Amino acid sequence: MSRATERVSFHRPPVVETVLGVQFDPVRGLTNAHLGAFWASLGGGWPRVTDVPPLGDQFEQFGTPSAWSGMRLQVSQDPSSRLQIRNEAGDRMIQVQNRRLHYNWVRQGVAKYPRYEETIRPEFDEMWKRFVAFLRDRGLDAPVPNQWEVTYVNHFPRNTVWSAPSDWSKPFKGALAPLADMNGTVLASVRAYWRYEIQPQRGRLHVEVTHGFVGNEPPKNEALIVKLTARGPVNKERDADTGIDEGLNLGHDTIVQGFRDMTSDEAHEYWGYGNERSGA
Amino acid sequence: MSDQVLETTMSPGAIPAVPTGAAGDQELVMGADVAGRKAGWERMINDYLINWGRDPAALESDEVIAPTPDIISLAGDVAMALRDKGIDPPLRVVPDGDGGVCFEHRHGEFLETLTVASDGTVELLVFRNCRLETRRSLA
Amino acid sequence: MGPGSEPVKDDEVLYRRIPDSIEWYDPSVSPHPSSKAFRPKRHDPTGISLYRARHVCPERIGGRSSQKPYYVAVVRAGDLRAHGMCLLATPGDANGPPGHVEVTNLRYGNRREDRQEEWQALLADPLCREVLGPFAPAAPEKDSE
Repeated sequence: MSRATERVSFHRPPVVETVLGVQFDPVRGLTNAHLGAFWASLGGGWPRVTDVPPLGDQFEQFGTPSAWSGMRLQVSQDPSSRLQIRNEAGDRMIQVQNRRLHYNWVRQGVAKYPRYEETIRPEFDEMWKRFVAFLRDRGLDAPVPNQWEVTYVNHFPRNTVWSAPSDWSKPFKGALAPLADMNGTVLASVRAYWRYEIQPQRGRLHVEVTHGFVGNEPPKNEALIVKLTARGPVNKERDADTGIDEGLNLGHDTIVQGFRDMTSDEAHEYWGYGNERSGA
Repeated sequence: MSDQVLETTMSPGAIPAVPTGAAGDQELVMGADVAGRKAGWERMINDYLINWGRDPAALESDEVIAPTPDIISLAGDVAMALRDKGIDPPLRVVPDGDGGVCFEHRHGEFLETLTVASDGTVELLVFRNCRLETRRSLA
Repeated sequence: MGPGSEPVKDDEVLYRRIPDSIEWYDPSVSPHPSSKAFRPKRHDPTGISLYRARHVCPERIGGRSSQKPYYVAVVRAGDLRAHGMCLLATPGDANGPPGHVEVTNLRYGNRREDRQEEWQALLADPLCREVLGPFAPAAPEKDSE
């Protein structure tokens, strides 16, 4: 399906991580051993793996929720795992468990952001295809996707688009901080969370802004961390691949256009904003 | 739960700029009627599931495939897990007729059924005004 | 056309038998039965069974085969049709009570489909107008001398 979208492009985007993911109905018989075999099938380019607790199901719901609709359950004796599989360069990660597959890119050093259409999305598609084929070859059912998910993490370091808490309204359109100085008390930190509906009930955009120190090594940088996650139901009236494709595209477009719309012209100038129409 | 985003990122998390030991809302606020919800699940377990487990033949009929002891036991595990999570208890627990066990919850415009099927799968159905709104496998 | 084979009219009252021993209905729990009381069973390949009030009273619905007490859910034919359910008078079984009707598109084979799940929910509430009983199992008929 062609997407004629306004392509949002920054020469120096503040994005430090992107995640594309699919949540699917549980696959009967899929064990930790299968996940390990899947890792082995990826070959030498993915040398590092760790076990972490699995993530529960997450569904975006609309309207008044019922009492049980958000229910999650874990009664199995099987200690299910989530594998985090990293590549040699350390800038890609595959996360796989029963019910989820995610593909991460994280910025290493001064590396450029790999574009969604040209790099990250095709890589995710390839990995999903490999996973589906792996399940088929092992005699397991095909995964039935139920939610798509896209996440972008951005860092606004101090002394880039802001210098002090009193500047926090500058990178954003609309008020982030109510008052820098309130009757003798001085603004010191912030944590904010907004949710938007991707109408009509096609998904939800979660925006989280946190003030903190980031970085693997000291000295850590003081920054505003702006995380955007779009998530929604996979269209069951489409075949699985089309449903995932449409969902991830919707999530990506919502995030990049939302990020552009919520950030200021001054910040755009700093990041080298330029937009172009594309029909891809 | 749909208003939270579970952590899937690999970049290290931020250290709070302003460390504080203030308790979060969840630590300070006691949930209303937690004891009542737990009691509701206990009743399902004690008055129905345990009795069925002791005498599954009581559910046998020419109409109904009774749940096996294993399925009744799994239903008990489900009930205990949901009890411990503080989930609203069901209105009733019944055999589904196909060898499974079904928990039913009604509230306002909603009917919700959580079925432990004879093959051990667990499925949630949510009806709003008798229109099926959600069908989800939980296990 | 034998008795009970005439088409079911919209204003007819229909009965659904609910065994007492299976917890599908408990007046101390709810005035409405469980939706499972209307779920097609393995012996419903052609549709769930109802009985026509004009041909049989609730006390006789148990028939000769019923060994256990039962309740009777009361529904109205036109309400079922309004939601897309199809009713067929099938009075042929000599062993059963008269006035047998099948909901032909609510069968064991399609019981898990979305529309059929919705019908089961509807039949329990709001289409179930009341529940009668409990009724004792029918006394076995004496052999004629």
